[in-house]
Amino acid sequence: MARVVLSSDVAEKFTDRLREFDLEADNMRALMRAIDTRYEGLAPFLEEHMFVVIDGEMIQDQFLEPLEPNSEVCFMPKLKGG
Amino acid sequence: MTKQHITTSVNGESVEYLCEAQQTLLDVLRDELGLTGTKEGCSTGDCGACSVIVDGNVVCSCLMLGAEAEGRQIETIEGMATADQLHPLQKQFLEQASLQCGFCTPGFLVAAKALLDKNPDPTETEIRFWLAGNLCRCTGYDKIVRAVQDAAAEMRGA
Amino acid sequence: MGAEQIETKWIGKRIVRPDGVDKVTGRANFGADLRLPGMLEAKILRSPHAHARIKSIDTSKAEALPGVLSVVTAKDFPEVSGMADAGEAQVNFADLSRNVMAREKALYDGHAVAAVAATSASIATEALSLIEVEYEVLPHVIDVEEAMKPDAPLLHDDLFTKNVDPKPDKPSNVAQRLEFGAGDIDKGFGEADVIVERTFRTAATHQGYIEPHAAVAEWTEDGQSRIWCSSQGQFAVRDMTTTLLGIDHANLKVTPAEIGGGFGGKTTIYLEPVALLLSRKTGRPVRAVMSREEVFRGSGPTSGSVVRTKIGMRNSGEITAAELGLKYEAGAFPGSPAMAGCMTAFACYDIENAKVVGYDVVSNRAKCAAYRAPGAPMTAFAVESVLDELAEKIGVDPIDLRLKNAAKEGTRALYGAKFKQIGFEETLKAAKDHPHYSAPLGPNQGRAIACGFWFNIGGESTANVNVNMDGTVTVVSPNPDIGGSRASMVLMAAEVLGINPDRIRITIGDTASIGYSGLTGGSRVTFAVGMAVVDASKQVVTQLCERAAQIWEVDVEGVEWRDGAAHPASSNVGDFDPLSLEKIAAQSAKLGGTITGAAAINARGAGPGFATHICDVEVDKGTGRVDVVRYTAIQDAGRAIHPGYVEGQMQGGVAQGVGWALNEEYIFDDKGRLENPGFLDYRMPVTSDLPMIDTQIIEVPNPFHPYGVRGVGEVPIVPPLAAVASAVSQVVGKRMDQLPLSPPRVLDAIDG
Repeated sequence: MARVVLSSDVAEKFTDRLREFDLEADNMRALMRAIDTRYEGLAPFLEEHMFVVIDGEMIQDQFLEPLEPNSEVCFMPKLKGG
Repeated sequence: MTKQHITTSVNGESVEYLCEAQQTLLDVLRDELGLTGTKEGCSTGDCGACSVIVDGNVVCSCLMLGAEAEGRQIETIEGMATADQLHPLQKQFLEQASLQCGFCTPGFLVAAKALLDKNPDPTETEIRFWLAGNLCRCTGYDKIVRAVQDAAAEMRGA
Repeated sequence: MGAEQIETKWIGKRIVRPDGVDKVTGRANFGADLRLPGMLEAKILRSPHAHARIKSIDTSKAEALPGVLSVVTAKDFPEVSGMADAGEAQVNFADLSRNVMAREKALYDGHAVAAVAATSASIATEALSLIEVEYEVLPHVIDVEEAMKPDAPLLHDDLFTKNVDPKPDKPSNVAQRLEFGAGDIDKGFGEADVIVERTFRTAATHQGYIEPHAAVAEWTEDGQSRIWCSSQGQFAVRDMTTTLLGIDHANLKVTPAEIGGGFGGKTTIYLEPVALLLSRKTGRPVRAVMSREEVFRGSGPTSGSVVRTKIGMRNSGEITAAELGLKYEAGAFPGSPAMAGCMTAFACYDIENAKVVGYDVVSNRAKCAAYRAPGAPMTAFAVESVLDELAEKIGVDPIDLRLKNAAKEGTRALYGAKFKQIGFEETLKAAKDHPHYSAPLGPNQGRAIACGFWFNIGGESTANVNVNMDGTVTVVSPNPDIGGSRASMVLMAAEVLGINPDRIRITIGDTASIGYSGLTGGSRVTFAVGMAVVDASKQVVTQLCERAAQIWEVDVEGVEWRDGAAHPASSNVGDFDPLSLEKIAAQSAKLGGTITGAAAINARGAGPGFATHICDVEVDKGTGRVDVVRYTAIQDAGRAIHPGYVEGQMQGGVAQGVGWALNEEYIFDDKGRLENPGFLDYRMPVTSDLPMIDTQIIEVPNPFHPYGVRGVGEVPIVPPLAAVASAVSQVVGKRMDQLPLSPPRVLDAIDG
């Protein structure tokens, strides 16, 4: 099981304010499929607007990233730096 | 537009050029003589990136017309090092990481050279006020001031 | 704790930067220094109105002027749409296109409306005055809170506030509402012994790079075009310019000029597509250079802001709840750094109950651009000022107060990340132990501390490392060197290869010479591109070991690389003299060809950066003038590859922050025109305004980087606003909540 963590604005939009939930997945691709099965439209939104923090680590090439049984996958908005 | 014929000296070499009446010395150095080491940051005399030495005085070349250079002695950044030797200021700027982007650097070096030509042992305050006409946005000036102090010491043989 | 500090030979050495001599002799070529045969000069006509419908543009008289070869307006640009990741930011191409050249409306004073190419700059300038634009002047709005009002003049009829429920049916200047939080703030504030709530304001400030934007563009008959320009990323310039003009990436080669400062402001494009379009229409190379006035009026400052924050605390100093609401000016198109402002606001602290709400608001100002830690300094100003006030109220040392709440390994930041190894507490402890913190103050002097955070980023990065026949090495980096990164790349390559850095030269590749890399921004180059250089250098070492194995006729496992030479891994391998890099390179042709490494990575694990600053000010109570008399910046750099340039980043960030705190602001007249578009009236710190800026580099290694690097460039601008303002507050006895702290404002505070 991986724990998905969303920011409150995303939760507001897609998950009826549920900010954390668990899904069965052993890599990011599987997780994104599971997310979209549960909340239609959320996965493409996350892919377009968010980047991913897996177990506290910012990940950019998240597609093939393996997940541990207790991984925490947190989506945060894409950033701009100077 | 009628152009004027000017004869002057740049870095010790006699130079002739044609310039439009409204062209600044900065325009002439960069566009007519190809001396692009002198930079344009504002064209209003506020940033010092275009500093050159004219007859021993630091001048913002954006505030002087090309036509006014007739018969003068002009020194630019391109004349600061000799063929095989950097000026002590140039060496110190490199050793002390006194530049980041390097755009303001020629202006600072020229202005600092003019200071040390007049005052071989300036205090920190004197350096800071002398260089107050040169803007740097990268360094916070700390390493620039230190480089000028150390170059001055080196030139005094201290 | 994770990674240990690794023993190194070259890393940490203050070598002379490889491009140094070019930069102290005037040889280095910046954006405006290129001159091509037959080159035309371009000038841009800009709107004199803050908000106006463009009814018609008549260019015929300008086109008839001898020496004028072409005039372009928005009609010459294709309509484009869509969003894309360009570097780290998201770009809305319809907006970008309209910012480059106004289409239906001019949305700010200085908005480009037409451009001329002529045989000389003076003819081009004259031609601008012959272009006839018929404007219908519209009511304008400058201030962020005015722009949010329901009856404010609207910039965009099709802009509806995102993320509000129910979905609005009327357009608004509020582009987006953002919100996130954790815990229960009502409960948290209920547990507080003391609560401080205040509203803070900061003015829009410009990045203030000394080099104005400049580009030379050349279109060729077969559509293969070229641009030479100064930017924070040749690939971003290529991708944005090709998208705006509808051409293939491969048909535009962008060569990076040296860049005279950017600080985020050169992560977007202004002149490049205009110059290229003029070149296409004229068949001649075209150079476009902004004046300083154009830089101020037409290129991106950062947002002015209004930030309200409320923090509750127990008498013991423990934060029980925190709340923050911010309003950021985006300029004429959506896209202020409101999100980053929200995310960074409380990132230094471990807070159970917190909520942040942000608004991204358009108004009739130039579209904001990234500026060093975009969005973070404004919220840090608010949060750090309130913490300073709370420390005073409960009688706790401000550093102890922060130590009590400091984020550490395992802390989950409000924005989601759980911190790994970070060095925030170390910066606080170093500040407390620093002699500056306990030094006596003179009359009318005050001292304050403030802290700052920035994420730092990684991202797509490439590097090539080529071994020459004589054993020297050439590195190709894909990122413009804005503050000495060539030096840090060379140091890392030298470390891996085990050779002297002066045997390594480095060049910045154009877009056709090396694979795509993200922007020079986000404090990512030494970290992420550095990782690519390390990776490519390791590939070279692998090949060198393979060649040595071939020469010795042993298995490659029997070869190890150290001190710049192949050695037998053990005496069992055989009795061979070490084979230096030179010796192997000399035989490379016979052993399979050139030795070369090429890395393309998507760097992850950028270590967050934290800083603590100590600031002393002296206030002239007669005039209200504030002088910063002593300043110490302490920051976790993970590992300083070239300490001189790390210190330089810290000092430069402080200077910009001091300018933001004391002097810098955009001032508009009642018609919405910028009144101070020059360095005389937009007052950046000069040499005589500042003291020496002391630095202390803390090194808590980033476990994700081979040498422990964290980004350092952005954090240093985050604390100074609050550090300066809180120090002034100490002297005047009143909380300074609005920047800049200009003499009249300080005098008002003194006079009560």
